[in-house]
Amino acid sequence: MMITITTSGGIGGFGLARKAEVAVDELPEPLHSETCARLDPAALAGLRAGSAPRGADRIVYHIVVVEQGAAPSTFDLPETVLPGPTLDLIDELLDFVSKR
Amino acid sequence: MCCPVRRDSRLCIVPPHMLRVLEMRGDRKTAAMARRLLDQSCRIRDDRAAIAARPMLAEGGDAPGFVAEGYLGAAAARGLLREIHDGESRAALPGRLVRAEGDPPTGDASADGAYDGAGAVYDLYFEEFGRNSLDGAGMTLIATVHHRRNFNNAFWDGRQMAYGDGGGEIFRTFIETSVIGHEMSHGVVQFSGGLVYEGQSGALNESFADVFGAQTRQRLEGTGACESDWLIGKGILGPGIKGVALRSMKMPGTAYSDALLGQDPQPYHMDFYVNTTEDNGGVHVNSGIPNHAFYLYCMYLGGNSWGVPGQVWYDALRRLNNPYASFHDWATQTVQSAVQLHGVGSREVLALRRAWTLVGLAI
Repeated sequence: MMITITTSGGIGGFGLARKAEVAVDELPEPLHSETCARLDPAALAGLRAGSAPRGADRIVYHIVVVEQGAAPSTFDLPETVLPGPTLDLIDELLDFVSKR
Repeated sequence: MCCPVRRDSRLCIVPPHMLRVLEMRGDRKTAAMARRLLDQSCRIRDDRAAIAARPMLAEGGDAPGFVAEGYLGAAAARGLLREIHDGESRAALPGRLVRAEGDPPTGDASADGAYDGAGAVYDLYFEEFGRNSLDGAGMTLIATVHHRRNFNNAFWDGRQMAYGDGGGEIFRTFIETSVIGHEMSHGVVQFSGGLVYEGQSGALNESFADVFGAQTRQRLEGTGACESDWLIGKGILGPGIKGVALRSMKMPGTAYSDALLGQDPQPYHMDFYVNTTEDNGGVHVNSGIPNHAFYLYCMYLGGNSWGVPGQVWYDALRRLNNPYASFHDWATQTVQSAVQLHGVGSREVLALRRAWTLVGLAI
């Protein structure tokens, strides 16, 4: 499974200006298991119906999940609909990718 | 639009734009109902449920505005209350309390900077505009520093400020006076009737935050309009980024030009208005137009930005009863406020009309 994470919005309007392309099968444990659980297309699909976020300068995550033999699943998710542990996981993935 | 489960036939014919205003302005019960109807999944996040919507009340007088409950009448006594939390690189808010009002410095530059910055913003609104905190009713100013890991952002979440540390490459910090003033001023907008965060009204929301962020920094540094550089987020970009700030109110579109970030996309004139679906309809892009109008107005008048220009902008926000305001609506409201404050043929009104005309908005 491949996951691509890009962003938009934020105080500058250009998101976090960091992009992550993650080959999930290459992730070490427990990062692998947590990624499979939290960024699974079914789990993300359950998040995207949230209402418009309150506040300002928030980030929107654009997540593309490509599973073998399946069409890409695309999600545009305001950070306000993502649970804290999922945001922490995204930070960990961004960090992991930047250090590779 | 309507929730299939807890359907409310009284409100299901209400269009989404009205529901969004009700969510923003209604009392707790009305706001919750509007939110539920807007939320197709009927799952309202716990943190959002805790946000108490405040009703807007009509102010008396010849030109009444709609203001937060606590703003009615004379300004209250000074009641600055700050709480600075350490997010400890996690997403959960608000995090661990590290400095409450009156506590000594922590030694953490971010925490102490957020504390001092919140005080500077409070002082601007209280001493110059008679407003007691963001809601006009003395609400505690809550901020979280060290929010998330290498987080390249700062934001207002509807009830508090949050500041990342930046990853070092693109941003080195978000603890900067104009940024703090910017985030807190989003709170002022929210508690003053609100501006829907998309399209032109969203860009006005952004511009108001920049305008008062700039005023906060200029007032703290004691610089008049003619001496200021009019930069928002000066010095927060990483050392390798070719740029000086996030935005320039003096010369929109010139704050940075970098291989990673690209060219600062802000326009300074309606001829260059950017139509886009990105960033809630370009709220951080097109804010360059009203930003530049404020800059021009300050330059025409001279003196301090938080003097006549700040008073006109603040009065306009209080009296604007239109969360979906366009740039033209806002420009018209500022002129009406200037007329109210200074008279029809005054220099203050003529300079303002000229400023708006120069950015392509003839009023």
